[in-house]
Amino acid sequence: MSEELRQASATPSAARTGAPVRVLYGIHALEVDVAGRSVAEIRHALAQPLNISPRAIAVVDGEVVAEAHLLQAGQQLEFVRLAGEKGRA
Amino acid sequence: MLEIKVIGLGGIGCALLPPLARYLHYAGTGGRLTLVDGDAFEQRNLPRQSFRAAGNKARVKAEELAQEFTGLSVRAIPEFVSPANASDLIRNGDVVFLGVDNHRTRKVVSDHCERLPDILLISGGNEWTDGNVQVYCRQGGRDLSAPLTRFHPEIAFPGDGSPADASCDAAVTAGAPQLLFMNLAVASAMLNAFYAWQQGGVRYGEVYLDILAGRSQPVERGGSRE
Repeated sequence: MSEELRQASATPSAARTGAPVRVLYGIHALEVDVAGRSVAEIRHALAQPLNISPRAIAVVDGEVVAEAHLLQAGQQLEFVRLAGEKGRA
Repeated sequence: MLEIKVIGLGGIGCALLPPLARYLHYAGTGGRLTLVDGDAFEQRNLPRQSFRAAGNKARVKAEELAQEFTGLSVRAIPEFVSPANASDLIRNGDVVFLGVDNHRTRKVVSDHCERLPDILLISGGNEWTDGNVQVYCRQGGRDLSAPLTRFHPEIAFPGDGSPADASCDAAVTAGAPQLLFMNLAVASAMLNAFYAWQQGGVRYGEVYLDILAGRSQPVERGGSRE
């Protein structure tokens, strides 16, 4: 776990319910204790370890959300990896 | 009769067609296969694409498949997909395999499919060792999964050109090199999605692949199965 993710996982106790947040990016799937944190914080924490594109939109439980959206325990956050373009860099 | 359109006969299309044609021929389900591509086979395509002769890819490949699978109906449409011909090429009830190298064509096809009541669109794309497959399914005028554009702004607002647009042709063909094995992995995932659909439903709207990591990750993409 990266230091950024470790810090993001230090969730305020008031937001803890025991259920982690499932974070997806491409083939990667993580269960992390980040309830109460914003999408922007999670993106910042995982941008380097998962190589998340700045253009990847954030989707929580199937709905596109803003960077300020606060995650709740048990939710699924996906940073949608850009579609392969077959040969394009 | 199952109407199957295969749009784009590059690395993915060439990997996808032999098993698809064999399956349709021997599964006894019937079906008609239509191959769509306005491009011509060139020698530089040889490392990843198999054609027995020079000429338009759709025509050459249709002839090959018709010779090998004599009971299978195969036809060729030597055209690129564009907004002008999409409604002629893609009809209600079709199964569409899309293996093109640009987001603009993906958008044209996805947008058209959104206007049809019943359609299965399976689109694949890849970089060097990773890629993805999107599955857009509509049934009775309702989305069972998301169109290609909903969660992919790079497709909804494409910055690339389409081969149907001659002025953009150079940009489209100037793509980075590709790996045959990655084309094959994406083609396999597309066929797997088709088989899952035939068996009653695809439980994901997108699947990501990485052949170096040896992993795939399916993701739901909206819509509900009732």
